[in-house]
Amino acid sequence: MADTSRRNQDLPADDMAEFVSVYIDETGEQCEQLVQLLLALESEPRDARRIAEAFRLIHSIKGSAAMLGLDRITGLAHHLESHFERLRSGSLLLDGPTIEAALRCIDYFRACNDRLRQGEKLEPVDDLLEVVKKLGQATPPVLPTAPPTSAALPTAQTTSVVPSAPPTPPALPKAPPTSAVQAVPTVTPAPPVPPPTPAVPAANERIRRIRIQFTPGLPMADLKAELVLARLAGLGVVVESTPASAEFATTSDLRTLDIVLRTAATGSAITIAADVDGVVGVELDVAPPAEPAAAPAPTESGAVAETMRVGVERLDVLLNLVGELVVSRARFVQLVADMAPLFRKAAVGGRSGGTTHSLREAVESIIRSASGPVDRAAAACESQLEKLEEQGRLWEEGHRRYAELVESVDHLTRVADSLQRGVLSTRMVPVGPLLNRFKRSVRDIANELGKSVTLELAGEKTELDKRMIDELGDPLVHLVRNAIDHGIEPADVRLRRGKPEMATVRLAASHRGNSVIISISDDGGGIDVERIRDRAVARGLVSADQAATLSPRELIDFIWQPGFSTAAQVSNISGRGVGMDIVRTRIEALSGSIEIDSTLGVGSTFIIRLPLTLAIARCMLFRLEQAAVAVPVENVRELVTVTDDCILSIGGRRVCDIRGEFLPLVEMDEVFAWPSTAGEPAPRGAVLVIHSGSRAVAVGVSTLLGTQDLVVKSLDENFMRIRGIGGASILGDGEVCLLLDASAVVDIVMRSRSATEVHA
Amino acid sequence: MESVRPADIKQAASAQFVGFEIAGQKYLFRIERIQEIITPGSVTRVPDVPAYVVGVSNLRGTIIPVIDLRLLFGLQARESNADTRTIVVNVGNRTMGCMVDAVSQVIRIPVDQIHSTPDTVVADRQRSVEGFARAGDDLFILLDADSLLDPTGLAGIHRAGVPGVTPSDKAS
Repeated sequence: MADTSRRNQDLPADDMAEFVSVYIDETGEQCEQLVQLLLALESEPRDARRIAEAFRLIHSIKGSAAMLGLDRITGLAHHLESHFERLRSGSLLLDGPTIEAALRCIDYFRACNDRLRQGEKLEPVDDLLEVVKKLGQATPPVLPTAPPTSAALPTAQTTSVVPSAPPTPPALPKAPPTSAVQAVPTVTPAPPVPPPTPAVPAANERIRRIRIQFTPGLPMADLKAELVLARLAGLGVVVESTPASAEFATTSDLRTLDIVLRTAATGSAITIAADVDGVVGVELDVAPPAEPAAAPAPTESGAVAETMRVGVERLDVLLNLVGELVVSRARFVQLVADMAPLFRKAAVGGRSGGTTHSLREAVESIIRSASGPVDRAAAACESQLEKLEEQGRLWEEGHRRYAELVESVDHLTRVADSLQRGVLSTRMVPVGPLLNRFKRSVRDIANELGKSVTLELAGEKTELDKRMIDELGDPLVHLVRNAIDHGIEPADVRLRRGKPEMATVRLAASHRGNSVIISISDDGGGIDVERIRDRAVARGLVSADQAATLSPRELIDFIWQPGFSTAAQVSNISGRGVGMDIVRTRIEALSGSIEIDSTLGVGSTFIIRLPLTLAIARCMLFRLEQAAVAVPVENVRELVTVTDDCILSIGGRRVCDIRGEFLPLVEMDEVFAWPSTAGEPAPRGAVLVIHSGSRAVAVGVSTLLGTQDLVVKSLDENFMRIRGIGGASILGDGEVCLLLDASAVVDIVMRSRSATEVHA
Repeated sequence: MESVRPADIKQAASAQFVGFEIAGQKYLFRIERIQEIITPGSVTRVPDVPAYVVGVSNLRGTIIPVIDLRLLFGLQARESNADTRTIVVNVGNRTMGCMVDAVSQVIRIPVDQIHSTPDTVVADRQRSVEGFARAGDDLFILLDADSLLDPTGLAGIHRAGVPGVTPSDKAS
């Protein structure tokens, strides 16, 4: 492989390297949009707006690739674009093979991105190129008489997958190619004046979003609005109007009218047409209103909210600095609090004022009662008193300044808090794109397994730290695969059980307090605990006697064991080595937890609970003899005082009875091996119930310091990983405190129980 | 410094070092490895680490481990006093603090005055000793911070559970 050919064929020259990263970012996003469009088009193949948008995206990918000399991508995109051009003009109808081929192209573009990132040579794509070239040749033009899809390529309804369902709603009438424009999902009925121009978009036509402002309280505003609409319809096609013309009469105080117009007319022509009596403003090309979640990216003329790309590492630096600021703010707050008693006016000022005053009286009485010889001493006293009064005045000044300081620190606190929230929010991104990716995965997995599955999404707007979004992909993919493969029963079983043949997988995100909850539910068969019981015994994890006593919840916990599977046979989708234990490990690495709620025959729900951000954690602080230790409040179930008669000692291990629940109990000092611990351990002040998922342990603590927001810092960046300690943080006085990793602490306590057993 | 005549000091052929003292012995670190020298602040103890790790400390918002070189060398611990210093050292992309009895001076030593380790010296930390240098009446041991504070090495000692020189090492 000659190096030069590599460069010429696939790799951009060195000075282009900078553009490559921009290219990768851009095409990544475009591919994402394209997938959403294609999936939407799968159920509505006549959606002209989406076809045009898809065409634009393919064109744009082609252009960027051509600029970098990425010939293979350019070639493929070119042929795909040509095909979409024909779809756009209405001479062909979008069919299943096209969507399949387009998705394969996107996969290739993405694969190319990965390779470009690694600086590798791009793979040849000749097979796919042939497929794309042949597109449309085999497809009957315009309306096919038979469903164009075979069983191998089922189509979907927006987010659902229906094997062997017809590709287009049969109710749709046979329409001429011009219907493409009218098929645009309009909110309003047809414009008041029938479009005089042919609806086939001319090359110079554009979509214009026009906002018309009427004089407030305009009489007969509805008629004026009709007039504007009619005049604009003379220039092109009114695609949409908000409010709709039917609502004009019922809209009280009609002030603004938003119109989407497809026209070749110039801006000034539009303005003149729209500017009737009573109109105070005509605005062109306003930003489109927020579209429903399934809608594609804004159309070419719609303005997009201004964004810029910022490297995550820059945000990390910023976040670190804010962390510093938060720590130093805490230091200020503490200093001010420490100074308060020194400056408390009533206590100190009053006393010193009173002392000075009584001293002065005493001196004056001495001067009055005595004569001659005391004069000098009295004068000395006098001058000392003056100095004292001067001190008092200084103190007054100090007190005033102290009040100002308190105010400034308050202000600093407010600014630092907003800054912290602001910087954190820059890292927060909606989970929507992450969840949307599953539309494609669910479609593919369901096809592969021959199951009918609808994917329901909820809470796409829920925001989460970018890093967590990045890390969540794999665990979620596994859980979704698992739900479809193991959870959802075959169609015949579903029908027998009286369930709809079409199964539902639901991905939902929501905020709950300081956490984000992501749940993956299916309406499948649920987890068969009896099968787990058999498996656990068969694998020697428990004895048959023990297994018989285990509760369903305890049994379900077995699925987190490495290599534990209840699937009757391992398919090529699940059981490929990525076990549920990995899923849990990944989630716990994000300081999250995962729980299962399952009912046999009804379905299962996996609930992932994650902190809002990894950067700052609300923690409960304790002082041990050796160090200050913090536990994230999410992991603290409760803090209770426990009397000695609630503590049982069974064979060397202690168990604590908390309202009838028996939890293993250890002292916080015993959780870790501390170097050279001296002296008696401090008496236990309270018992902290720490939980991770469904497991909980009781840990005795002596001194509780309170609850505080802590900036989580890495301990292993300069040092090393210590089991049970997730990081460190800096307290107000600059002291380092250790942050416990609750799930590891629970493990350690559980393990130490068995260790004690061995020693005993 | 009398033994080093001005003529011997050639700018290109000398290097700068930070000299410090542990139990009466003087040591050197190459100055490029040193970030700063601080008076020891508050150190938070850390569990499950070897004894020579005093704990972790806050260095202007960064958390760094603090290692007591006395304990690392297998010597007795000593109470800190006014002379005790923490040398902040950069090892790879990590930053660590080393507690020493005292920091003496920054010294420039001609390269040809640095002698490699004699073969007769066999000790556990031989690999950390880069050489010896004489400056004036003082004999300095030049330490290689990278291998002395190599995290994998430290972890290895941790596993062995015995800090400093072990009998088996002496025997070899």
